[in-house]
Amino acid sequence: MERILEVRNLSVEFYKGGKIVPALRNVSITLNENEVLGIVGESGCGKSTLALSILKLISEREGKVVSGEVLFKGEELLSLSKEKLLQVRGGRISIIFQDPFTSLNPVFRVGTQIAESLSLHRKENLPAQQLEKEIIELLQLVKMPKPKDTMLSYPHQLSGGMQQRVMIAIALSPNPEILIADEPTTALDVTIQKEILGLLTELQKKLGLSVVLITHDFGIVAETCQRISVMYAGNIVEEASTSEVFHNPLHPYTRGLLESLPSREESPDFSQGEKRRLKAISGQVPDPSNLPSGCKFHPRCPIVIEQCKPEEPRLREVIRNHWARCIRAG
Amino acid sequence: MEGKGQANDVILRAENLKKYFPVERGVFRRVVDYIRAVDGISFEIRKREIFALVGESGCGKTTTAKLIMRLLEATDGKIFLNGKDISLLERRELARRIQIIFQDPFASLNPRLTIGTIVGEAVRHKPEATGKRVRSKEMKEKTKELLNRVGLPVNILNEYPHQFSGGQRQRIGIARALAMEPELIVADEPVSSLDISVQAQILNLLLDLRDSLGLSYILIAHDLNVVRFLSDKVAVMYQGKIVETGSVKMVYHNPHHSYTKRLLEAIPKAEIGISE
Amino acid sequence: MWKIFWRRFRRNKLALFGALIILSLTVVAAIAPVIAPFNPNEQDILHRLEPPSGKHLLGTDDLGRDLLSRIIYGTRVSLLVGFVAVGIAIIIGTVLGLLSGYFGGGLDSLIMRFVDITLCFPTFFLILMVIAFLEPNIWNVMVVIGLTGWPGLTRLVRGECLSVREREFVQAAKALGLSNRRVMFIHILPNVMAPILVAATLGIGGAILTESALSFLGLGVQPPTPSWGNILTAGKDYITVAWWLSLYPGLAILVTVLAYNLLGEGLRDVLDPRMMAE
Repeated sequence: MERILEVRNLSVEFYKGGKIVPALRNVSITLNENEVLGIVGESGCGKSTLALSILKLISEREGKVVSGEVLFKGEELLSLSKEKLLQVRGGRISIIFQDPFTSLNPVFRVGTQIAESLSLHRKENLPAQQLEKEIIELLQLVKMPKPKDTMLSYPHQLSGGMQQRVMIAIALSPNPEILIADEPTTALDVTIQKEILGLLTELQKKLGLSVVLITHDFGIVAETCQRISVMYAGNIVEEASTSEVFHNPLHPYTRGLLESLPSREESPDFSQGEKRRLKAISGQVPDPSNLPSGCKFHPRCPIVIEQCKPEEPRLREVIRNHWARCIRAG
Repeated sequence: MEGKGQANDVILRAENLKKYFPVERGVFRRVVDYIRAVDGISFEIRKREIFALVGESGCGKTTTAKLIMRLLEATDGKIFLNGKDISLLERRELARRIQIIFQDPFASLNPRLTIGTIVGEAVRHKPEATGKRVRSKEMKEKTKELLNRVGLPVNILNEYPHQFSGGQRQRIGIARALAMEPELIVADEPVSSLDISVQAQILNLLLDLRDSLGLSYILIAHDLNVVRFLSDKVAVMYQGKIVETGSVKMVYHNPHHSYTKRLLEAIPKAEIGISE
Repeated sequence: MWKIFWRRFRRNKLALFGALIILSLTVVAAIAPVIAPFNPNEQDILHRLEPPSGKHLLGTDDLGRDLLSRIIYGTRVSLLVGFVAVGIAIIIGTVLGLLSGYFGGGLDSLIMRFVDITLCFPTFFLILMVIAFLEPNIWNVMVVIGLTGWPGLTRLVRGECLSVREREFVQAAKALGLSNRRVMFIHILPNVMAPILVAATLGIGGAILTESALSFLGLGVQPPTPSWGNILTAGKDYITVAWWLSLYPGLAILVTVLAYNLLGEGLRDVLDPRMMAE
């Protein structure tokens, strides 16, 4: 499988309240062609920053890329000229965000917004009729029930699920090769979530997309992703195929997360009123401006030892194709 | 009212509860239609029971929570707390029996007040039988006790909400709810805004409190995994009506209503990796 | 909590500048008797209409009184009017705004109609009418300016109250069974303060201008008590021969009002909504 996107040793800092806060610390990920890669983590781990950084969407006021590179089919993105970058952004790599309502402009009709994206990334100016035809095709692609009506609607007239479909349509309009989806279904109801995820999976196969799916929901990655990268405190702590991560989590954080999910089947022996407790990870996610020494997870780790404290472990390949940032893994 | 002997352990009963919001049009604000947020629901909660109301957005579960708390007045139907109609109770009386935990740990605490005030003001202003005002020292002691109970350090009385994380704020919210020593707690999406690891801590805490204080909960949630983990009984709501009720075991393993089945099917399963 | 506010405030140059000026003016007003070189009412007919010199730094007026001293004492009038007038407006405006926003319904409609009616009157002329009716002195001026200022504030407070009212911590407070009074004043009010402070600061500038205008027209502070406005009255008759009588009080008004406006604008930047985000 070919590597279509490679992030190498990316470090990003933010300016917050006069302080410099590390958001990403030496992060490396690989996306293979036609693959769905899941990036999982809790708030503050840096997953959204990663998504934004790939397309250099962090404004200069907020923060900056300190080091590292992003390779798209071998071409380095972060050092591209503004023009070239704009071609890539939205054109070859698209991104969709969590809340479709705030991503859509409330004063323009949906059709207009899709048209904008279409016209932007084609070199020619398309005649109105052609444009309309393509818009309807796109809306059909994302399984919108009444494409013509939707085209003429304003965002607030659509439900959350439909808005997200519009977002997907806009993102796919220029036929990108990579789609980055940052928590695309978090704001949606669970039945709608299922539809949208199903749609994304179908489109991915149909169009041969490579997808980076960012989420905090393990259920979603289990059902849609082939590989998973787990992030913690600005860094990747485990990376492996989905089944490996679920069957054999090597990093104590991943293990802890999986064990704290309330979705395990209830044992039929429990009597009414008596409930088991979840195995929760103690403590809380560290403040990025005040990270602990050594392994960032060590204060909360159930198997911590002295060697964990001085130096942060490297990400190492413990089993073939299964990486973990823990000296005690394996 | 049912026979007293049997329904002894029913703490809350809702009878044909309705809440309609009028839709007004025109300059003279004529009422043209109604939004039937809650459209005739009935249910019972027993002592020490965790009862869940599930459904997707717009089904009416949050409105129901507000009706129980009397933050909204019902258009029709009644709610009985320990046999008494709650619309006849004074606001303070109700506050001593039913309390609420909110979803958003950031919005549910007043950013301008200290933790001590947020948790303790209920204690201070609780109507005591003698009408005596609780003294400042007593209030501090009680507040510290509450913070301890929810797993927080006790020296935070003078700090402000923004200094704490989501999980900690949620604990503060729980401490506040416990201050009134209620019998029933309405938990409105208590963990939806929290990270997975913190979620587990709070869920454990809720169970511990139920066991140690004999509380009942009415859990409003959309996350079916959380509901299955935490609840004893569940009622599924759809467009203002309850479409299915039963014990968690029954509803999850053997759902009757088509909507329930759709809901259950839609839950992404975080169990085995499905690789292509 | 206030530390964040303070740090942000320090970083906003304009607000700092405005605050500094106001602070200086307040000090000047407070210690006027100490720093004024002459008694502001001491006449010296022999030296009337003298241009700025070593002895009279800003010159003298038509009765030989030292302009600098009169302007220094005039600071007292301006600041006092500013604070009291706006103070009255804030108290009335905030209370009515909270009541209106919190309870809604009939009370809200009643108060709002009252506000609408009051706002229909052209403020300045209303003030003129009232003063002409009553006796022109500083107290009446302050009260009248205050009474014409509250409607705008009421609307502002009501709007903020409406949005704060729906926030979860207010629902929580009600759920705790706290009295309406407590919810309004302890829970809602502190969260509504920000725009009030900004409006108040800007309002002080406006009040000072109004008082100056009234005094200029002879309907405000009466001579011999110095007010920047009534110094200008005298100045206008001698403008061709004694420009300093118009320039310096004018500058004083300009600087003061500007300072308040800068402070107000700065406060607006420093306070919400970013305050919430942090």
